Amino acid sequence: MNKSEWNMIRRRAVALAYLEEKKKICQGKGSRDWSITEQDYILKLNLMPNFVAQFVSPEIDGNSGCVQFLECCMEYLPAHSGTYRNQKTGFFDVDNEVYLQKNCVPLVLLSDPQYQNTQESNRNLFAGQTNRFGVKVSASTASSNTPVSQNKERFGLKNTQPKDSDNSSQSDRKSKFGF
Amino acid sequence: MGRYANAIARCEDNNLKIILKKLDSYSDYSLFCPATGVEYNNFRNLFDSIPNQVRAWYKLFNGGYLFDTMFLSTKYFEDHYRVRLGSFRIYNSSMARKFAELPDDKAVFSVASFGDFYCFNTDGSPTITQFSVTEHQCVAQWSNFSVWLNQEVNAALDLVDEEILQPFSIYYQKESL
Repeated sequence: MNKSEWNMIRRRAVALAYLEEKKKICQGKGSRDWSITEQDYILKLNLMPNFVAQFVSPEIDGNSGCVQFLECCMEYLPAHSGTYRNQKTGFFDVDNEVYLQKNCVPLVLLSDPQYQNTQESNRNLFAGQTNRFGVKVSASTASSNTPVSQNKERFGLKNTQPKDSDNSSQSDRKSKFGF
Repeated sequence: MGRYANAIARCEDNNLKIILKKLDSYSDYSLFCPATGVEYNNFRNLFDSIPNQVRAWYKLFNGGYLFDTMFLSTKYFEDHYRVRLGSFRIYNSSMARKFAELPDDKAVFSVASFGDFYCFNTDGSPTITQFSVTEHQCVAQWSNFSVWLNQEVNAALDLVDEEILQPFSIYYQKESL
């Protein structure tokens, strides 16, 4: 296996792990107890800056469960006795600072599940994909690439009120309520 | 007009222009911070010698994210997008160099999702090297920055086709960079 193939295998495994992590966060779970900010980063950026993906098993088979995410300075370096050189495998128990012989990363419930079953979590999960109505799902409710007039035309919508009805309803209201 | 239209117009290197044009169709998969003149000068002052193409790239962008790869920045945080950035000062600090056992003539400018560093040479040569943090040695080499970047983008596009890499969900004004 050449280096570019080896890079690709590791890259695919990490990308799959983050993809899986996004799904878990939307269910209020995770491979670790992510903070609200960290959940935000993973859902929006598909990665967590300053975290290192460590492979639990030396055989990387593309299974997303074989990746453990460790914070670079506070967790990864202590896990390797202060240097990157001490390559160790297994699941690193951050609290007790010991390696456990597990082949996959256990699932935990998030203390602050920010995106569990919310409309925003669905938006983040499916952002960029095209839904069954042929509309591209946007990450934010504020963003809309299609002008309203085009959408109206596309879905055959018409203005429900005639132009001058607005003024008449205002004058009716004024006469009735005095403002 | 694409998101990278301004960057393409301003880019001084033809090979990088070709890659930027390719990235223009995948602008949702990248998040680059436009570089100001001051930031570019800060970047130049960090290293003795920087390859021309790397310099041309950092004249346009002050770090950010390309698919799943992080480009280091002179800043720690991007206010506009409200995202944390990898900093040159942290990754090239003496302590980080000691931990990774990074050679003196290498400067980290990008970090792969699986942890390896991409470095340029500070001795004036244009080559880009991949430094494995677990093997503590250079494991791959590219003749220059544009060759590396092109390969990086092509590999990422394969993962996009497999729907493993997803677009970023950060909402930003669709202004041209």
